[in-house]
Amino acid sequence: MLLFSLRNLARSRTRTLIMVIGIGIAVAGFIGLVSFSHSIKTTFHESLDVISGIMVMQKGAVDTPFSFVDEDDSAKIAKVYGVKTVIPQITGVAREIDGKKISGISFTGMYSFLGEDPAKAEEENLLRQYLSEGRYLQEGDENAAVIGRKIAEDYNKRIGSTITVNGYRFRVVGIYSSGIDFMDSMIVIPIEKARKMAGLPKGTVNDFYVEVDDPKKAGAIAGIIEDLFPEYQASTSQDYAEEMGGVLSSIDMFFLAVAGIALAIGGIGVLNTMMMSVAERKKEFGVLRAVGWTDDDVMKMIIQESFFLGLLGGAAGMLLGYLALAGAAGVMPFKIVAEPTIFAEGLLLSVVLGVAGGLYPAWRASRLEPTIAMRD
Amino acid sequence: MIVLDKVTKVYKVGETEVHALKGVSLKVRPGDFVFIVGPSGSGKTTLLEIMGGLMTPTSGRVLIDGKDISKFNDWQLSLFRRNRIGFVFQNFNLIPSLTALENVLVPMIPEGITKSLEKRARELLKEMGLGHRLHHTPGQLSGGEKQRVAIARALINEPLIVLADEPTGELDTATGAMIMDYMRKLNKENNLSFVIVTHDVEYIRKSDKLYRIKDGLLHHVRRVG
Repeated sequence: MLLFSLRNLARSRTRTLIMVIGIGIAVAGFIGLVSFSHSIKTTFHESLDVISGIMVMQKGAVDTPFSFVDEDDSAKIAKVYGVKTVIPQITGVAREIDGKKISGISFTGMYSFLGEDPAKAEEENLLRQYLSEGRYLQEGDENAAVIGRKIAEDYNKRIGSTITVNGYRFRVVGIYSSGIDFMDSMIVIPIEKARKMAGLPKGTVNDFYVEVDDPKKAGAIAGIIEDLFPEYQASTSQDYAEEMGGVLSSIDMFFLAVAGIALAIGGIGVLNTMMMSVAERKKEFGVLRAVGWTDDDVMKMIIQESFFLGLLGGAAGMLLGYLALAGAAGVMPFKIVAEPTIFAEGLLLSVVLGVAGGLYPAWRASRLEPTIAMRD
Repeated sequence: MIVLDKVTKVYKVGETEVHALKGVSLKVRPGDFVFIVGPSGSGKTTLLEIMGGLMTPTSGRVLIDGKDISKFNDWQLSLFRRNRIGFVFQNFNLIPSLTALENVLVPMIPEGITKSLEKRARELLKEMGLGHRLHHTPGQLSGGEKQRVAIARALINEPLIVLADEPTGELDTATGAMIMDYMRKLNKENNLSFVIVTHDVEYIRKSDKLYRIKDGLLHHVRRVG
């Protein structure tokens, strides 16, 4: 009977093919969207794990370039119990690298510069720990830059290369690599150059990056800093995680809803295809019943057909999904994870969809009165 | 032996009742070659369908080897048709996507196609003179060839009886005669019973049992030999 079912699908090749592609796109959509959402979460959490310290910014500022803090406060914060060191930072967007404009807001090219005091850079442990080549900033540096792996790759830079950022020339002395694309898209330069580039007056920086003795106490220390300096907000990676958690789960829900709609359309497609196919073969079912097939036999055959539709659609979906993810991997700022379980879920859903879409047509066909069906 | 005992069939068409069979009694013994003739709408197809377990009578009994199939449920009737009955239809009713060989095997698909079944199907088709047409689909066969495939299909389950509804209705006279000859040959060689519903009286011979059906009533016309 399996062969017979397959033969029936092969009979109207175009329809079967269109249906397989239809389910395939729905399944690919599911695989793509779920993988996407997982990838965003994974990247986000990975990057948070990298940051062990506290970010101190002006209260209410959306992001570091819009935050202005008094550099003198760094000495006061350093006195808070449990604080190891305070690194004043100036950050800004790299609008231009090597004379080439970086077009507006693009996923691929969000490069930024980060100014740090070379004299204090030794105490910094945010990016320095990921140094893979050369050295980090050191006292006396004026035109030195430590660049992230992604920038090194995108602009083909090595130790000793020169790099121009927003019109300022630097010499690459070190390259760091955290493995996370957007973390590796920064150019670390001496703070006084960054001040000029950002146009900040003396004595003002964007934020303080606070290293603590014990990362587990970061939350408590952040609380103390906020108590002492009501004009500042101190956030740990935990705070970011909580803040982003809600956003991420909304994104998750949205992706799931879109994937769900895609799948529902696929299911209705199977239903439609099988209904058409059953209507066309009404007479044939009458004959099968007449020569001794039971109603269950007819039902089984049609469910098998829709099972195969689902299976083929699932396979097509896995292929399309894989291609879509492979395509996206080159363009997206975060690492795309193609988890086998998501692919397996996609295939399973597709088969379930196929069978579910075939149930009603199968039932309808099995209920046909053989003598009436044959006369049609 | 097949015995129909005061079988009636009443259809409901909207509000009105149509009495297709009004108490039909009939005996078919092993080896009988029975013709039932009658105008269209006389109830002859209904009679054949009740004999073959395709529908149940409104009243009366249908005894097949002593078993009353009029009390069977749908599932029992399906299995009864699969194992005991061979059907031959006017318009062949072959599955267009399947080859001749596969069409012959169709009734047995739910039980699984064994090597010996396949061998039997090949032999049946060879006997019908279709040894060279095994892998042709119905679209590639002539009317006479299609009907021979259908007869082979009716025989795959080694039936108790073959019920043929206008088997020559869509064939020219020469081909019709040939099909009828095949059925006679099977009847003689295997002592297999046939009940043939037709309006082509030219194929009927003296040795056949002949019944006429009119307005739902069956009349024994003659019995010779």
